[in-house]
Amino acid sequence: MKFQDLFLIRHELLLTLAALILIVFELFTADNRKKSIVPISLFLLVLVTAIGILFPAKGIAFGGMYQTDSLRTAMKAILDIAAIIIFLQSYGWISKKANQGKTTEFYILILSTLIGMDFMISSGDFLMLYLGLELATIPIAAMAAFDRYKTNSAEAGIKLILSSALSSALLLYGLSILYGTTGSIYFEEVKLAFKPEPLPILGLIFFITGMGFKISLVPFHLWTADVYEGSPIAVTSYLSVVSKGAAIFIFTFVMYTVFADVSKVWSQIIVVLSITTMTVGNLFALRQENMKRFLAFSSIAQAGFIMLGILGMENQGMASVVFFLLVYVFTNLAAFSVVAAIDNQTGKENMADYNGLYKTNPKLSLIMMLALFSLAGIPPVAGFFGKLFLFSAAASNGYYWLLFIAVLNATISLYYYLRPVRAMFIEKNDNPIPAFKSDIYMRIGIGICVAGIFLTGFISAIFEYFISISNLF
Amino acid sequence: MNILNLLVIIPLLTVFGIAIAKDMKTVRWVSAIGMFVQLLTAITVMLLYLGIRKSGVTDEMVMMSDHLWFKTLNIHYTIGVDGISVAMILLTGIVVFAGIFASWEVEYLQKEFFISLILLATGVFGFFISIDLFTMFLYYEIAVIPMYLLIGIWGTGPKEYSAMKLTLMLMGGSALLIVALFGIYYNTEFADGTHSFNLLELAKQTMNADAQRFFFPFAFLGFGVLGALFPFHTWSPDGHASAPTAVSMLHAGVLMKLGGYGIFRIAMYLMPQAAHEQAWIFIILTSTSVIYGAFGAIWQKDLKYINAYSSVSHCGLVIFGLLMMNQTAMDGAILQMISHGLMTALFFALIGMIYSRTHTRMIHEMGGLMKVIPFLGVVYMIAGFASLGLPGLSGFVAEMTIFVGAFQHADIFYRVATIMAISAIVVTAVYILRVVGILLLGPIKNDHFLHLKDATWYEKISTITLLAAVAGIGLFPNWLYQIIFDSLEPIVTKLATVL
Amino acid sequence: MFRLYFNVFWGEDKHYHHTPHESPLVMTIPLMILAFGAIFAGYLPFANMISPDKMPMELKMHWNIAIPSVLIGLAGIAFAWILYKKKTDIPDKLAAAFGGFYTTVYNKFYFDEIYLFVTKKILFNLISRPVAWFDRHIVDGTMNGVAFVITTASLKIKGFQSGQLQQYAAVFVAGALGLVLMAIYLLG
Repeated sequence: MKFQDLFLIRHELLLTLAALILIVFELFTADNRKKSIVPISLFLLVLVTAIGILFPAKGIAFGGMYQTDSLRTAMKAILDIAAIIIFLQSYGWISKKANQGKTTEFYILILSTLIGMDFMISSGDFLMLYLGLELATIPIAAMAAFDRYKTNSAEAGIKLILSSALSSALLLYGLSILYGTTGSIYFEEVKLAFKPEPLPILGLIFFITGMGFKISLVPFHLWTADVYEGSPIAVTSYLSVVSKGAAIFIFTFVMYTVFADVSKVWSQIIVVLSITTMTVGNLFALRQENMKRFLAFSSIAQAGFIMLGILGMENQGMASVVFFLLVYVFTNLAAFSVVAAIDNQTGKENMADYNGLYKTNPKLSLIMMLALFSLAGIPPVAGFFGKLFLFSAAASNGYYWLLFIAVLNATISLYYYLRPVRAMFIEKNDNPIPAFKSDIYMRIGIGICVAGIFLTGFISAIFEYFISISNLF
Repeated sequence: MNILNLLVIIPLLTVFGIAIAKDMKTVRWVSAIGMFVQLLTAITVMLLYLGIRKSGVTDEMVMMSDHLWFKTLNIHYTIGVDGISVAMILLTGIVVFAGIFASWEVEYLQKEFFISLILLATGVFGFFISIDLFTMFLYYEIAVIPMYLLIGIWGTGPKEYSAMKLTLMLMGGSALLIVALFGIYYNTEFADGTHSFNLLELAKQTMNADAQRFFFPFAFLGFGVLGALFPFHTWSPDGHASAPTAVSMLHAGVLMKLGGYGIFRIAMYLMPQAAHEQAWIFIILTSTSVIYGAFGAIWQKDLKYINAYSSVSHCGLVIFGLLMMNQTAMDGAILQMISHGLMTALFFALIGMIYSRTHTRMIHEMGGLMKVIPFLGVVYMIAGFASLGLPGLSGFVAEMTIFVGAFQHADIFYRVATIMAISAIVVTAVYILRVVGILLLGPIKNDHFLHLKDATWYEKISTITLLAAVAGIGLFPNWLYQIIFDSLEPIVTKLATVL
Repeated sequence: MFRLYFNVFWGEDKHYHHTPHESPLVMTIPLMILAFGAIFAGYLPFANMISPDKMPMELKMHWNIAIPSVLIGLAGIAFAWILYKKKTDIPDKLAAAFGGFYTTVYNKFYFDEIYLFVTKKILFNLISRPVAWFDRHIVDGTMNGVAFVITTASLKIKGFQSGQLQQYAAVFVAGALGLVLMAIYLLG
C-alpha cells in the first residue's frame, strides 16, 4: 500500500474520518447538547464535498481496483450535494422527540453508505464494485428501519435487506461466471477476454439483473414501493436519488467499458427493460394516493427514461445520464422536501390532504409544482433539458420507435404529475393544511433544490462540462 | 440589443411587476400597461420590418441575432423574423391586449391569473421569433402548460376534465413533435458532418427521403393536434367552453395558429418531398375538419361550443390552404390564420361579456339582446358576418384567396376536396345567422335581461380593437398580403423544386 | 298586372275604415315624374350615349317580334278587363278548372317549404345532429377510451405489487430468467 494510493482515495477516507468524528462526538457530548450534532455533521459533509470538488483526485490505485478521474469525481460530487440536501431536509424529522437517542446514528449511517457508493463508483474491477455495493446496502437497510416502532418502517427494512440479499446473490453469481469465463475481474481484462458466448452472456445478464435491482428496473422493482413508503422520508429521498444514481452511473460505465463489444446484445435488452420500466412505472403511479408511494413509482418510471440515455452510447450517452442525474437530484429532493415538510408538520402523507394547499402554503405549493413539472419534463425548468438530452442520445443511435414510446409515456406521466398540482391549486378544501414555516435548514435545502431546478438547464456550461469529462470511451 | 428580445422581456417584466403588486387594481393596470407596451413593440417591429424590406433587403429572415447555447448539440438561441412572423406577432399582441381588458372582472386569485396568462403569451411570442428548432419547441411547451392552471382554476363547467383533456392531448401532440424534432436533427446531413437545429440552415439542405417519409406524419400530426385537425380536435370544444374568456381568446385566437405556423414552417419547409407524397391523406382529414366542424356547430346550443366548433372548421381551412402548396393558397391560409385569430378572439370576448350579464350560454334562453345591449349586439353581428365571409371584413379575403389557390389544382381529388371545403361556407352561414337570429333578434326571453347594462369602457376597448383590426384587414388587405407573399416565397420555392 | 289594376281601382266598392283620399302633392309629383319617364324614356337616343367605341350601336327594329309582343300585351289587358273589371266568377271557375296546378302555382311551387325542409330536416337533423353525436361519443369517446384503457391496465396489474416478499423474489428470478431467454434468442 503506497501512500499515493491512500492519497488517491482521500474522498472516501475523509468521509470515514467524518463518520469517526461523529462517533467520537456522540460518545463525549452530554445529552442536552446532542442537537448540535446536526450542524457539525452538515459542516463536515460540506467540507468533504468542497475538498472533493476543489482538489479532485485522478488516477489509479490498488493495482487497478480503484480508479478515479474527472467523471467519477463529478458523480461523487453530485451524490455529496444530494446528501447535503438530505441532511438539511431531515433536520425537522431527526430533531423530533422520537429520534432523540439515535440522531448521530442517522448521520453515521448515511456517511457509511455514501462511502460504499463512492467506492462502487470508483471501482476498477468487479470485486470493488461488489464491495462498494454491499457496503452501501447494509447501512441503508438499517436506515430504512429507523422508525423502529412503526411497522411500516420495520417492514421496509426487512424487505430491503432480503431483496438486496437475493439480488446480491444473483449479482455475485454473475460476477463469478464472468470471472470463470474471462479469467479476471479487472474491467480492462474482462473486456478483452469477453466473448459473446452463452455462458459469459449469462454472467452479463445476471450483472444487469443485480444492478437492475438497485436501479429499480422492472421486473426487479417490486421492493421499491413498499420500502419507499415505509422508510422515513429522508431515507426514501436517499434511496431514490443517491442509491439509484450511483447504481445507474456504474452500470452505464461498466456497459460502456467492459461490455462495449457486445453492445448489440445488451442494447436490445435495455430497450425491453426501458419500455417495461417506463410503462409499468407509469401505470402504477396513476393510481397512487400516498405521496411517498407516488414518488416511488415516479422514480421507477424515470429510471426507464434514463435507460434511453444509456442507449446513446459513449460520450453523449454518459453525459446525458449524468446530467439527468444531477437534475434528478434537485427535482426529486425538492419534491421529497415538500412532502417531508408537510409530514413533519402534520404527519399527513396522502394527496387528498394536499387539497387546497395553495391557499395556505403558496410557496410550498409552487415549489412542489415546479418539481412536478421538472419531473414531467416541461420547460423552462431543468427537467425539460434533462429529458430532452436523454431523448437526443437515444435518437442519435436511431431508436426512433423507442423514442416514440418514451414520449407517449412522458405524456401519460404528465397526467399523474398534474394530480398533486390539481389537488393543491384546484381542489377546494374546508380545512386545508394550515400555514406553517419550516426550519431554516429545510428552507436552505429547498432553496438549493429550486436554484438547481432553474439554473441547471439554462446554464449550458454544466451540460457541456459533463460532455467534456465523459470523453473516455 | 435586438428589439425582438423585448418581445420576451416585456412580458417577463410585466409578470414580475404583477408578482410584487399589492392590490387588485395595481395588478390590472400593470397587466394592461405591460401588454400595451408589448402591442406597441409589436407594431414597431412591424414598421421596422416594412422599412427593412423597403430598403431592399431580401434575406429570408431579418433582425436576426444568434447566441450559442449548447455546443454539443448545436443548439443556439437564434431569433429573427420574416413577414409571416411579424404578422403573427402583431396578431398576438392585439389579442393579448384585448384579452387583458376582457379579463378585467376576474376576482379569484387575480395575480396568478394574469401571471399565467402573460406567461402563456411569452411562450407564444418566443415561438414566433425563434429560428432554432430547439428553442422554438421550448417556447411551444411553455405556451401549453399554463392552460392547465388557467382552465382548471378559473374555468367553468367540467373544468377539471376539460383542462386535463386539453393538456394531455396537446402534450401528446408535442410528444410527436419531439420525435420529429430529433428525426430532423439527426437525419439532415451537412457537408461537414455536423447537425443543426437552425431552421434556415436545415432548409438549405435536403433531408434524407426515407427519413422524411417517416417523420413528416409526426411533425404534421404533432402540430395538427394544436391546429384542431380532425380527429384530434376533441380537446377544443370542451377546452374552449370551459376556459375563462381571455384564455379562450388567446387559445383559439393565437395558440391554434401555432399549429398551422409549425406545419408550414417546419413540417413542409424541411420535409417537402414527404409533404407532397403524403398530402392527400391530410387533405382528406382537413376537408373533413372543415365540413365536420361546421356541421357540428349547427347542432350546438351553447354559445361557446358553437364558437369552438367554428374554430375547428376555420382552423381546418388554414391547414387545407397550406396543403395546397401553391403561393396563392398558402397566402390565403396565413391570412386566414390572422383573420380568424382576430375574429374568434372577438367572438369569445363577446361571449364572455354576454355570459357575465345573462349568466347563461344557452342560446335558447336568450333572445332579443339587440334591444337591451345594442353595442355588444352590433359588434356580435359584425363578428358573425366576418366569420361567414362577408366581403369588407377579413374573413372574405382569406377564404377567397384559399379557394382561388386551391382551385388551381386541376385534378379531380383536389377539386372534390375544394368543393367540400367551399360548401362549408354555406353551412357556416347557417349556424352564424341562426345564432345571431336567436340570440340578438326576436323576443326577449327572460325579464331579468331587460335591465342588462351595455358594454363598459374596458369591454369597449377590447372589442373595438379587435373589430378595427378585422375590418382593417378586410378593407385594406394588400399591405398584409404583400408581407406574407414575400416571406412565403422561399417555402413555396422549396416545395415546388421537389415536384 | 292588369288584374292588380282592375281589382284595386275598379271592381266593386268595399267598405274602408278610413275614407280613401287622394295622396298629397308631395307623393304624387314624384309619381308624375316617374310616369313621364316611364312613358318617354324609350325615346331617348341611348345608342348615342352609351357605346364602347363612340359609334352609335346599330339597332334594327325587328317588326316580326315587336308587333306580336305588343298584341299579346294588349290581349292580356283585354283578358284582365273581362275577368276583373266587374266582379265575375270567371276567375274562380278558371281556378277550379286548373285545380292542382293552380294550387301549386299559388303556393309559389312550394319552394319555401322545400328549403325549410332541407334545412331543418336534412341539414339539421340528418347531418348535423349525427355529426355532433359522433363527435361527442365516438371521437371524444375514443380519447376517453384511451384513458380508460390505460387506467384499466393499471388496475389489472396492481396485483403485482402484492406486498408479499416471496412473490417479489419469484418475479425477480422469473425476470432474470426471461432476460436470459431473450439473450439466448438474440445470440442465436
